[in-house]
Amino acid sequence: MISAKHLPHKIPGEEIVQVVRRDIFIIFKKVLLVLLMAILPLIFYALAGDFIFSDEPAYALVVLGSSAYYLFVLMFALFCFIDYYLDVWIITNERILDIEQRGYFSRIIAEHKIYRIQDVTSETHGVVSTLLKFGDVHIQTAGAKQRFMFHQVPDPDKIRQTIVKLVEASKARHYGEMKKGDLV
Amino acid sequence: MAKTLIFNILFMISFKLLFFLYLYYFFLAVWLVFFGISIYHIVKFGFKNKTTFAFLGIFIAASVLVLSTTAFLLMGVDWNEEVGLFGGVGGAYLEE
Repeated sequence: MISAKHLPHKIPGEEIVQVVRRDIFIIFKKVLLVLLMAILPLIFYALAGDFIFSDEPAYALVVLGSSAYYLFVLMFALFCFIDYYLDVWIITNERILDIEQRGYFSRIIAEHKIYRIQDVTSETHGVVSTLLKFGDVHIQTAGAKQRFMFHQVPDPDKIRQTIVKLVEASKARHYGEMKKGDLV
Repeated sequence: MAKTLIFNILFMISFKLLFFLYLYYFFLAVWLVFFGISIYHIVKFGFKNKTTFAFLGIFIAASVLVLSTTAFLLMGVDWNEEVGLFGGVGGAYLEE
């Protein structure tokens, strides 16, 4: 499990500044879908309950089918939760960890040093994004993967400001240490 | 003639309810594997906080609820009863 004390390859003195996930609206759409899927059989039973529960074999088949259906809905909900919850960006005072969970068997972890960041841009497009204040944050680095982004995150402007402040502090610290090293 | 024969054969095919129970058990086994993988992912890669444990608890409780309700509703079912493939349940339509 990830915790403030157990970050992957933690750097001495590193502290978590912010943990960013996609906006709650993104998971809200899936929650609505799961609720709809859970309610559908109840509507079906209300309409055709007398007919389908008329004899024992039909009753047993409907119960088995319903059970399998609800287990499937539960698994779908769990999958949506994992997809949302394990897709995360961790901003620390030293680096940004970009953790992406793609389905069950694909997981990508990338890290970008804060002092290598050159440019940060926040973008909000569309009516829903503007009203609910979510959007993308694009980050330009001097690393191998030059441009990466936080996708559909809440309050992208605030995240941009946080990263810009961290970059300034990290660069001052980093280049200050380098100058000290040059003098010695 | 051939069509009538095929229809008659199809209408005569029936399964014991036990067959559907085994089918359900197979589905349950596959489901349990994926449920295990999901829980492993949350425990291994999730954050060590209240949200993680709360959602784990909710999903496990919901699964136990579905499985125990199924077991409760199916108590007393005679699994040796026959179900016709196209002849309705228990071959009811076959007799007409």
